[in-house]
Amino acid sequence: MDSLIAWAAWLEATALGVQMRSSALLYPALNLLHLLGLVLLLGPMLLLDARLLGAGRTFSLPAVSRALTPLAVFGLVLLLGSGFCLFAADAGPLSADGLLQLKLLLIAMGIGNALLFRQLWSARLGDWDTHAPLSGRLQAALSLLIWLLVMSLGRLLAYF
Amino acid sequence: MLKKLLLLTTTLGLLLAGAIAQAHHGWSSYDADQLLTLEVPLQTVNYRNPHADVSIEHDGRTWQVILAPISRLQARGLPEADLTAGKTVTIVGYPRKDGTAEIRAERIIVDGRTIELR
Repeated sequence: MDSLIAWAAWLEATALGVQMRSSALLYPALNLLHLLGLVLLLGPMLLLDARLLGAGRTFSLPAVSRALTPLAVFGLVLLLGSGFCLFAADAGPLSADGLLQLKLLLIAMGIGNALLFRQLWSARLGDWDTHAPLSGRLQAALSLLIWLLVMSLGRLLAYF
Repeated sequence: MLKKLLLLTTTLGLLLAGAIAQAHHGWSSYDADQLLTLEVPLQTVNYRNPHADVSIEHDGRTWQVILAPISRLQARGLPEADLTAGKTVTIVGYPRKDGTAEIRAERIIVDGRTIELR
């Protein structure tokens, strides 16, 4: 924990941290990229989760997954990159913020859940609608909950 | 399906309400019924993102005063050069509800100019 706090202080003092704090344009620009990443991750993820839970059965699940997964991955990469920059501006106080700690934990859980899902079920998407495993559907429901929570916690960081 | 989603959303809301105890910079954390108008010298100035802040002495305590993002300050005519430590300004704002020595400024008067911060 001490080394994490030291790392946060170091990050805040780097050129990146200094630029993020002192530039009038950079911080809002990165905020916009973060928002774009959020839309690209949350939209596709929630649609895919809803499809896994039985919504929109007229659309083939493997095709839906192929179309949406790359968008979600792109959104996640954008979120991680822009989030790191935003974090650098105020790393010390943010790393001590309970909301951010919870958010980071949930992000790790969300990514882990998605990777595990692919590992376990990506070969079984073809007959998902007739043989959907209960644990797979629970993973989809968990994914919905996790990403909505991550989004909410992120927004609330500015208010609480 | 829709019912399940509604249930999830409700659960989410309840979880959040339960999880959030500590308060930070949103306007709701400040006491809007207690408008302070303070003409004081600035102790320190942090002209920075996500929002600029200054510190002042008031009632024997050092208060942190939250201003606004620097893009907004610049757009409304308060560049970094105008906000220097030692300069006397008038701060109009609200104290934190929880007793922390922190003020959210509604406006600041610098060199005779009023800059709205909200």
